[in-house]
Amino acid sequence: MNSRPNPPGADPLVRVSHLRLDIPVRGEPRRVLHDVSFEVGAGVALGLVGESGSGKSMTTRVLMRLLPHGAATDGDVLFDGTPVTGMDRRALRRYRSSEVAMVYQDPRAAINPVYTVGAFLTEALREQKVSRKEAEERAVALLREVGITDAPRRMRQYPHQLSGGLLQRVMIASAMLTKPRLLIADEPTTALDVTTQEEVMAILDEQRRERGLALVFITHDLDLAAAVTDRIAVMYAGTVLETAASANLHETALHPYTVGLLASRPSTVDVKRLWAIPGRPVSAFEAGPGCVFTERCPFAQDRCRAERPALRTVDDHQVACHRAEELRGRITYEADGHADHQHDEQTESV
Amino acid sequence: MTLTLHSAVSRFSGRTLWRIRAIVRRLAGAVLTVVVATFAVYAALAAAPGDPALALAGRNPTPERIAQLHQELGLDRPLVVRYFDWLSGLPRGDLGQSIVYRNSSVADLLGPRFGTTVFLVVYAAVLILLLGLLLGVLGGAFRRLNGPMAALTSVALAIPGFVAAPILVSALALGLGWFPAVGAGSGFTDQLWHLTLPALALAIGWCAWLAQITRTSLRAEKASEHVGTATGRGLPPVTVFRRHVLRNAAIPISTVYGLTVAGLLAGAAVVEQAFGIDGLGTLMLRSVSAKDYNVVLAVASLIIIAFVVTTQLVDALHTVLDPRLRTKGGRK
Repeated sequence: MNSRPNPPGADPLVRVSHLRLDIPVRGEPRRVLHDVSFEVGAGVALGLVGESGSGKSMTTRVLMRLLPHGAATDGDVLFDGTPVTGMDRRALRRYRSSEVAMVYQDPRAAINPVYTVGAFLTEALREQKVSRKEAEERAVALLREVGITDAPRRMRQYPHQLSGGLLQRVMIASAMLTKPRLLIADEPTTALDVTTQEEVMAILDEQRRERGLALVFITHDLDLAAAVTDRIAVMYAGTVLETAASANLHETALHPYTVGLLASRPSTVDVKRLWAIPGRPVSAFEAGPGCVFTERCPFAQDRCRAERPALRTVDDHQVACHRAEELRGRITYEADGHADHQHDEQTESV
Repeated sequence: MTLTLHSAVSRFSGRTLWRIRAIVRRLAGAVLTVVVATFAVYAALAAAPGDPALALAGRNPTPERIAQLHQELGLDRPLVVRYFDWLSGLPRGDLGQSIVYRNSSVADLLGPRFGTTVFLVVYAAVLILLLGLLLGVLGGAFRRLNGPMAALTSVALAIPGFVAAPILVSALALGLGWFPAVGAGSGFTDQLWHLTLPALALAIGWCAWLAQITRTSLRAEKASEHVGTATGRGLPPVTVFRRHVLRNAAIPISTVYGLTVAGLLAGAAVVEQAFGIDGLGTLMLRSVSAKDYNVVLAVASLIIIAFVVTTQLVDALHTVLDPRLRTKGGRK
């Protein structure tokens, strides 16, 4: 696995820096993303990991520029050096149709139920003036590649006649059809049956590696992210708290939240009571002026509450924590819910 | 040999038999609806006060004269018997005689009026489709127009036909003199000219209704995830709207439109009365007050049949529009 995202000097394929996003809720702008920064090099896979509501999906919507009306962004979102937020209609359409593709969480909702699988697959190609015959041939070939054996028959079927796993393969095939450079997968296996999750994930991973696509992979499953990505960005309350190479994130996690997340994974070896980070996740708009994790952080100090830490480089990580160096290697959570470094009342009960 | 024949038959019967069964079930349901509904009309009319014999007997009728008329008209028999008598005439195309217009069959009374009313209803249906869809699509497709369209259609929806009619007459007929105020006209263009105001009066509320349904269905469909997928694939907005928003919203829109058209025949009565048009509606209103059983029942049957046929057509259209309804047993 390549732990260096991009060769020095070269521009990454995607660069998101200090992205802020406000979305109107009942007429009032609401902060959804505070400070999101990450890079994805060509052919590199980045995992965006975080709890529900941490802003992972919204980040991908910004990448696709599929935002609700009235959304306001700030900061940079660059694709191959071009700001996505500044594209005009024509450039945006070209970008969406040939540079980036997305695999959505629930294929049943993401595919129009009134058209056949074939129509769904060929639609985008037909729009690019590819002949019907060629579009269909390419679609059938791709369906076979994603492991659908009776592809010609499936082409004539409607989405409701296919199982969720099969439909997600169709979705993956459709993402590959236009030969994009960047693939975004938003929890592509969450809506599927457990037994098909693994297969679909394997196909997605295989396809992207074969084609050398860059991948932004959204999940709340740290282990899954570590298995299929090169780097992981951990998000919390609309903020990227830490990014690191997937390979050694487990051992070298610096941010108290990352360490907490790693500690709260269920273990199949050691069946103890499941540990959870105390407190409830806060939404981006609820966060105070300080670090977004202060309320739940056992190591929070006055400075953490007053001043929001910026993402900075520590070792080979990027971390947004004032005390990163000081706490390095010293954060451990015990299974009974206490942080042993600095035990205080905040972590008393789980 | 028998085995192969048997399997051939069962293979044939699987789909086809299911289809035939579905069609038979539908037809039976439709016929039953017509029978139950016409009986309800008959019973309601019988329960209403008034006696058609009184009108025929002239001044100061003797009880003997009334009884004699009852016997002549068959009104002395029980309700159910009379109803089945009427019903059994239907397959032969016998709608019976009118009580008020003696010596004229119901079919003769209906004939000329039928054309006028159908013209009016079709005219209104076309207006509803064009105007309702136009206003609805404008409001649903363009965010800026959503508010104004919502306001406009709410106002139009609140205006009943019998209020719209006199307003239209005083403004466009008496005021500007563009259209005639009364009458149905003869010949296609003359009828078109004469029936414009009545059709407008009939259509206005339903137009607003269809526009509202169209607008809200389009907006709901626009917010659905698969539209996001289509946009995210870089399809031009017009294509996204046509193929993914309008096409999917066509399902609720066609339902509402079908039901609207089905109800127009009944709504025509009020408008015909207001514009002095001698159509089925006016005939029915007159016949109801005179308790002219056979005429009321004939017109009511037409309305009911129109309703049943339209709803069946809407159902059939649904299976065309929504592939999920085509598979045996619903989903999957």
